[in-house]
Amino acid sequence: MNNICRHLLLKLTSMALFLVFIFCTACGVKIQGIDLGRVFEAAGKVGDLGEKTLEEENALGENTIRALLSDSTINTQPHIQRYVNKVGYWLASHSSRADLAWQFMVLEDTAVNAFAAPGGNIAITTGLLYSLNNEAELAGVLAHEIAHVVLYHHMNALQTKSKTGLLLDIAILGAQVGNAKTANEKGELKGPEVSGMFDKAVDDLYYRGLDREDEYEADRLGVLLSAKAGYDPYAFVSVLQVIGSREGREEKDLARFIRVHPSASSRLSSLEAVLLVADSYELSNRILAQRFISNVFP
Amino acid sequence: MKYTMILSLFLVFLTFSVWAGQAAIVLKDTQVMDAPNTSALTIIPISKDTQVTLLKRKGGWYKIETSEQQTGWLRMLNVRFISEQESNQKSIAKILRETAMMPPASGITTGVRGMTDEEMKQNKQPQKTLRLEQLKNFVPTEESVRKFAEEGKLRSQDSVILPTK
Repeated sequence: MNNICRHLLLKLTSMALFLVFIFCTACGVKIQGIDLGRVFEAAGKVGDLGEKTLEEENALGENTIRALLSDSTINTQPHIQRYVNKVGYWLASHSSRADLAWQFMVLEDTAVNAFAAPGGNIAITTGLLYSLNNEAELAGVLAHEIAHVVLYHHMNALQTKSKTGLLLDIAILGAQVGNAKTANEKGELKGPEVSGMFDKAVDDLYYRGLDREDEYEADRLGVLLSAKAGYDPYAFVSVLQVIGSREGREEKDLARFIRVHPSASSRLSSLEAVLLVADSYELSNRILAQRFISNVFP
Repeated sequence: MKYTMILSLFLVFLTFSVWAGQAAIVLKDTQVMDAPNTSALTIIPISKDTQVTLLKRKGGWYKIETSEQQTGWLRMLNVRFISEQESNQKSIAKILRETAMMPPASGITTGVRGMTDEEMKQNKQPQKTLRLEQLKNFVPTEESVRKFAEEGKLRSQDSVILPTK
């Protein structure tokens, strides 16, 4: 019964949105200074909400990362930023989306965390970076985040969370159309309604995390990606084992990570099959502990 | 110079001893092998919930020691770490971080973290904040990434096939 009600509600919402679209295009309606008619016009048609272009993904990624970093501090040590970017770029060059404008960044935060945003924006906190032992472990963490981007996990989740993708499209188009009231010259969303709704969808996604299956999938692709780039794929297993040993201790710095990820033990179980595949290859298995230490703790 | 050499030796020691002393629990009834591969000989069977000490890691295997001082190899996925607190084990990074945060005994600092030699020479202060746009300065060139991989002897493993969705 609940499902039927939900289905009906969804249908009614879609119809209402369609009517709003017709009304907006016909009458040039503005909400909080945002010309919805112009936005929809640029979109072409309301039904075309599926495939996003690279340009749209980049615009979305930029706005997502801005929303996420609004109260974060970027680590100011150039050698650490350069080092993490080199490891990240080497890994990304082995992925199916090597041509993205990847941007890796280290955030000054004691909380253990790493996350990705559409378009190839990837962040790792000093809390996680400093808990690692070698470059292969760092590669494992970055490869997991690269996998989220390659597999469009956040794009798809934002599209779902933003109710049939309409909000997402408004956000993207708001940045692209260049409506002075919606986006400034840097592409930052300015319309208070749109940016507020968009930021809420982003906050919601990054607070609750992706679907568990997306995390397992990123683990599996990440392990193979780091192996393909010449790193020891088992280094990531080691990272998960250390996190697993800290899970039951109610550490403040680990709380967010635990909330948005499946347990380390279930992630390790889901990696079993892919590690057997990795075992079947003759791999170079580089670990690079000393290079990691001399770059992160010079 | 002397300090750098001592630190390097210390790092090498830590690199090889990272697993030494880590306590772990065996997750299922399995076999302890005499080498880190599946075709190695079985030394002894080991039961679920047995506590072992990890000595080192090689690929997907840990060299372990039992309470009866029996050593051998177990697959990584067959063990679970006992928490850091219980085993009193620290990562290399953690030790270094704590060391880095301690003021020198002399009270005199000889360098500024985050500054290059050139910046030191020019007497530049490290930046206090960094904006998102400035991060683009750290994006490496294709050539520098290739050199970085070469220096680390990282070779692309063409045999690894990535799944396609």
